[in-house]
Formats: sequence, C-alpha cells, structure tokens
Amino acid sequence: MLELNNVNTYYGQYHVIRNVSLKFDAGGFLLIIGPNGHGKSTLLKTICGLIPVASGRVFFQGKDITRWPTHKIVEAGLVYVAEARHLFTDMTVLQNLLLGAFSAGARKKSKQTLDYVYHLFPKLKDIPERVVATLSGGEARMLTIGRGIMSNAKLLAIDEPSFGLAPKIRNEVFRKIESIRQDGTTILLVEQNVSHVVDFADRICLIEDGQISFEDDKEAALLDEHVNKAFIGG
Amino acid sequence: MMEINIWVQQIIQVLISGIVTASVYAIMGIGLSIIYGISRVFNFAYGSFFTWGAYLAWFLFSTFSWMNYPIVFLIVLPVMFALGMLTERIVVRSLRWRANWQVTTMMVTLGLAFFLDNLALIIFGGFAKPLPPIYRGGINPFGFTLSVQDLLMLIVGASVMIIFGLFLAKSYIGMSMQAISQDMTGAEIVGIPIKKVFSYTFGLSTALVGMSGILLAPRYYISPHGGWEPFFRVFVIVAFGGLGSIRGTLYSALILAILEAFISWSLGATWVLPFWFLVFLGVLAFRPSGLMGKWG
Amino acid sequence: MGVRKNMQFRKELITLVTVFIILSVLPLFIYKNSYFIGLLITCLIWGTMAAVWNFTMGYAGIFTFGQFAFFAVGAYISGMLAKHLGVPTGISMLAGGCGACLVGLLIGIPCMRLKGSYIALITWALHLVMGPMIKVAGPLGTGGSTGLMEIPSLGIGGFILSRTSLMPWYYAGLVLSFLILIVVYRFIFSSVGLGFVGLRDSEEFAKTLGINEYKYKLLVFGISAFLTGIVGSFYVHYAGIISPRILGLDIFLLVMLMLIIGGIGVFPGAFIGSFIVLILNDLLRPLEAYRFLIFGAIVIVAIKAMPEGLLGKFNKLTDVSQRT
Repeated sequence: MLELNNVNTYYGQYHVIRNVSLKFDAGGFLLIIGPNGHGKSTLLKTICGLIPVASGRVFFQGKDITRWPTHKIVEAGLVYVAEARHLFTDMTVLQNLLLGAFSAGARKKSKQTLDYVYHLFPKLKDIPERVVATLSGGEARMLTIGRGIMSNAKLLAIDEPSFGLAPKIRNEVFRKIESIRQDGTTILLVEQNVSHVVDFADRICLIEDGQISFEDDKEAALLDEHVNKAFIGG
Repeated sequence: MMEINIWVQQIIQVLISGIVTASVYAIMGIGLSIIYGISRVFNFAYGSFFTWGAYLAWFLFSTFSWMNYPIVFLIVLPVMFALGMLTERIVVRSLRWRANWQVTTMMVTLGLAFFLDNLALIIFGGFAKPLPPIYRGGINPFGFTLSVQDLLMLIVGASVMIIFGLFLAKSYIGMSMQAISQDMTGAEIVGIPIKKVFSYTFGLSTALVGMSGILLAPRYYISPHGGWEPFFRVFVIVAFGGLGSIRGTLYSALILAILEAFISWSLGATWVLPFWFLVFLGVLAFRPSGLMGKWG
Repeated sequence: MGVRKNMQFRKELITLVTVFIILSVLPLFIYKNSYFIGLLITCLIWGTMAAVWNFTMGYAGIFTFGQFAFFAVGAYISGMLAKHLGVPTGISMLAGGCGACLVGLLIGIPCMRLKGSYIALITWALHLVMGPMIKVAGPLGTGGSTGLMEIPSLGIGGFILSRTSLMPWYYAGLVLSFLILIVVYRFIFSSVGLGFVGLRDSEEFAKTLGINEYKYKLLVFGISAFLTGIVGSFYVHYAGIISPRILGLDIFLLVMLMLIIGGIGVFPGAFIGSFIVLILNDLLRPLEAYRFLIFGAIVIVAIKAMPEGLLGKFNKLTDVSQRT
C-alpha cells in the first residue's frame, strides 16, 4: 500500500531523512520507534505531503504521490494525525469533525463516518458543541484521531498520540487505534512510549539518525537485542 | 409632528451619516482583515484597487449612457475578483515559499501599488473624476435627510456584511477560510486546498475594496493616488479592532466612522485626518497588539 | 565589541574597497560635469542609507520600514540645532544620530520581541505618523509642511563647505559612507554577527549558541537608527533644506528598490544598487508618469526574478571557496 524509495528530506539545510526505503502492506500496523529528534515525525510528515521530498519517491496504493499537493494526498486517503494536534481551537468539536471531511470523497460519506467516530469515541458524542480550547488532553487527542478518520482515511499516520496523556487514557487511545485498524484502516504509528502499544503492532521500524536501522515484523524485533534494549520493555 | 430639539435632530443626522459611512468602511475592513488573517499578507496595493474599482465604474458610466449602478456592480465586481486572483497567482504566490516572504510580499505589493496608481494616471489623467449619483434627491424618514446614495451605501454595506457572515459560517469555503486562519497546518491536514483558498481570499478582498471604491467615489472623487487616504483609514480601523478579527473590524468601523462624522460636524473637515492619526497613535501606544491581531 | 586582531579579507570587503577606489578616482574623469557629481553625491547618501537598512533587514532579520523616520529625525534635529541654535554641524550631526537612535530604542524595546511581520507593520506605522508629527510640530521649529530652509552648510574643522563647489561634498560624503559601511561590515562579519545569521537560518539552534536574540536585535536596531540619523544629518547640511516630502512614498520605493536590486542581505549590494537605481531614475525623468510605472513594474519583476539581487548573483558566480 505504501512504498518509499530512497527518500531524502531536508529541514532547511539539515538532512533529516536519509535515503529511507520502506514497503508496507494494507491492513497492517507499523510501529515506528526511535530516539527523539531522529526523524520519526519528519518521516510521517514527508509521507503525508506536509514536508516536501527532496529526492526519492513515495508511492501510495501504486500511485506516485511524491509531488502531490497535500490536499490531494488527503483525498486519496493518506491522513496525518499530528502530535501537536493542530485542531481548530476556536471551533466546536462537531465543526472540527465536519471539517475533517473536507475533501470531496470524505464529504459524501461524512454522515456515516461521523456515526462511526461517535461509536468509537462516545465521549465526543456527548460534547459536540464544546469549543476545542476547553477540551481536556484526552478529549482533544480523541478528537484529533476522530477528525483524521473523518477524512475517509485508508491509512492513518499517527504521530505520538500518547504525548501528555495519563497512562489510563493513553492505553484507551491505543486500544481505540487498534480497533480502528481492525475495522480496516492501515495504521502507521510513531511512538516514544512503546511498551503498551507494541502488542498491537505487526511490524516495527527503528529510525536512528534519519535512517532505518531496523525494519521487520514484531517477532523479529523482540528478538533483536539492539531494538529490545533501547526501546521496548521500558 | 413631534417637536424635536433641533440639536438632537442634528446629532441623529450625524449619527446616521456615521453609520452609513461605517457600512462601507466595514466592507473595506473585512477585505483587509481576511487577507491578513487568512493569507497573512499585507496588501499595500489595497488602496490602488480601491481606486481602480472606482475608475472602472467611471469608465463604464462615461462610455455607455444607459449605464446604471446595478450593471456596474455586476461587471466591475467579477472583474475585481479576477484581478485579485490574478494578482495572488502572479505576484504573490511564488514568494510565499521563499525566505522572508511576508516582507517581500509587502514590498512587491508596494511596487504593484505604484504600478497601478501610475497606470491610472496615464490612462485616466490626473484630474479627479466624479461618479454620477444614482438618483438625485433623497428620502426623509422622520424628518431626517437621507440621500439615495447614502441609502445605497447602507443597504449594500449591511447586505454584504450579512452575506459574508453567513458565507463564513455556513459555506465550506468560508469555513475553510476560518480554519486556515486558526491553524494553517490543521487546514492542510484535513485536506483543504490552501493555495486555492488564498486565491479566492485575495479575489474576494479585491472585489470588496473595489465595491467600496465605487460606493465612496461620490464622496472622495476618484484620483490616481486617491486610494491612500481610504487605505490609511482602513488600516487604522482594522488595527483598532484587531488585525484579522472580523468582528473587531465591524465594531471598530462603526465606532470610528461615527466619531469621524461627529468630528467633521463639530470641528470641521480639516480635523478629520488629524483625528485618524490620533486614533492611530493611540493604537500604537495603547494597543499595539491590534496590529498583530488574533493570530499574533 | 572587542578589538579584533585581524580582519578577514572576505570577498565582501574586497568588493567594498574596489567600489570605493573606483568612486574616489571617478571625479578625476568627470569633474567638469557637476550635474553628474551631484547625482553621485545623492547616490552616496541614499546608498549608505540603503546599506544600513539592508544590514538591519537582511542580516539581523529585522523587517523594518521605519528607516526613513530615523533619517528624518536625524535630519530635522541636526538642521534645527544648526539653524535655530547655531550649533556647530559636527555636533548637531551627532545629536541627530543620537536623537534617531533614541527613537529607535523607544520603538525597539517593546518591539524586538515580536515576530517579523509585526515589526514591519509597526515600523511602517512609525513612518506614517512621522510626517504629520513633523507638520504639527511646526511651531516648535520644524517648519511644518513647507519645511526648513537655509540650513547651515557642513563645517569640518572650522572650514565650511561652500554650496557652489561640489567636490568637497563628494569626498566628504565618500569618507562618511566608507566609515559607515565599514562599521556595518564589521558588525555583519563579527563572530556574533555570523553566529546570529546562523541563528536566523535555523531556529533549532537558537538557544544553544547562547546569543540573546532580543539584545542583539535591539543593539542592531539602535545602531542602524543612529547611522541612518547621521546620514540624514549629512543630507540636511548638503541640501540646505528639508521637508516632510522626504518621507514620501516615491523616495521610499526608490530606496527599497536599491535593496531589492542589490540583494537583501547581500553586502554591499544595496549601496551599489543605489547607483543603478538613481542613475536609472535620472535617465527616466523625462518620461514623467511612466517613470514610476516602470519602477513599480521593476520592483515586482526584480523581487520575483532576482531574490538574491544582482550582487547576490555575482557573488554566487564568483564563489570559489565554500561558504561557512
């Protein structure tokens, strides 16, 4: 479903993503781990078109999306769920969700998708008129994911959803993400706090210094000493 | 007929005049506000577009004897909209992704302003041009005078404000504009075509200011460099209300237009411009955040 | 700033010195053409003003549109002191610079914390109010809308420059320009300056370099105001008159074009740009309204087509070694 060939990305002058190649099938759950500042977020943003690709190619469902504008990528179903959330703070929960279905394809199905989101996150159903600025961390995080789903996502690229959340809420978020996956959405997840989410993943990818230093299925990852030591079990 | 104190009657007349002007200032203010709030661009050529809207109307009136205001609006507004979109596409867009784009955009729009002003000077000459009044005369509700021109300004102004408010809140494009102004990255994430919206915003802004130019032309007379004074007024209004905040612009336009009317009536027209400068200084001194707006 | 042991002989310095050598000998060939000398003096004045503006904008990243306000403050203070109080021009010029610097600090202290475009709007606002303020202050000696006239000529060490002979003015201006540009040069290419440019390009390293961005910006802003004020003071004694017209949008556009053509952030691009712009301005004068039409178009085209300016392009072509 998703394929990267020798992708390089720069942040100003800094070579952040170095020659990354990756292949990933539909329906899976890829967990991306690695030390802070080594490019995990940047990789996600690059895939989703928020940061331009300097060289290399990105393919989504067989199409070359390397030079596509962001809104076209979202229309195709590749959706980014930001760590920084980027919610529309002066708008209500419902308005945010509806805006999530902005692209034409998503808009047609917005009623059904909204029902699904409410089914996933019943809390949101209770507070549609609440202004986003007044939401708690957990509620905002759910809304961010919900809004991503509204975009009719085939692949959700989620960036550190657990950031700033209490353990109980964090686990709930992970469980929701897993059920989203079970319902057919492919998941790409970047996380720091891996211990509780590693169970859900199929494959694990370790990014260090902007490069992939490990990429394999979960069983292999758990056996690999390097990966194990550094990140899992913590 | 009730006996009303002459003095009170005059004051209400001034109030009416202020409200009428406010409705046009509000339109101008919205145009500048959306450009800044959404595109983060400060369009120095705003005053020039004001003038050009008026010039185009004058051209239509002087070329076709059967011309009337509704047709003028029907022709000029889409033209201004297209001009605005064209400007955004050709002049502004490519600068955005470069270093210091906000400053280079200011500079390039300043260049554009000069270009447009002097183009007008060459094409239309330096003598001020008048626009015909829609209908000579006025109406007299409750004994107050309201010229038809004033009535038009009020009706058009109020309608535009209402339509725009609805547009912003209900339409998908309107909501996308709000979204971009609140969180541009968030707007990208939900799949809003940012570049297209910038284009429409610029077009809308230009159409609004062109409309204002036509409405205010009988008062200001159209001259090539005549757009700077209205531009300054709008700048003050928008800074006073908070750059980028639509609601702030509306309140600010109302307050300042009424004040302007009173100053003009009580102290004379020569005090009007100093009044605006004083307000400006006041904004700088006490509320410089007005220049930074909600998204500062 | 400590004393540097040795100045690196950068390409920019070579360019600067070359330009000034050319300028120094140029009059020997054209001294009979006093009109052209006069034009060159204008180029020196505005070129220096543009160079300081360029330094503030391009290197320190302070987007200011208020430089003309500083120019005017310097000019008026020096002019008024010399004319109304008989203050010797050397001192009045210094006072002009200090006055401009004071205004700069007054604006700068609250503003340097703000994000780029807000500084632009606020300094633009400063520019807008300066004109009316000068007019309103007429009774205080500014001459109101008509301006100040018969301002004493420059006196250097007891010797007063006559207004009939332009050569002394030319060389006085040349010396002043050179001094100011060297100061600018030293600022840009000091370790603090270079570090600051690096900071500007990558905010990630903002804190790690230990450079206090606010303090540096304030320092640069104040110095640029001071230097611009000095240039303004020199102008006022050269021209003998000053009016609020100096704050006109037409002059603003021309000087802005100098920055664009020379290259924003390229040293000494704006200074060189001044000669191009003002000579072109002179050549186009007979075209009247078309002149500014063309300039408006040039501004647009130049910004879009030449983001790094002519000198920037030249620098790129002649870049032999790696840039730090």
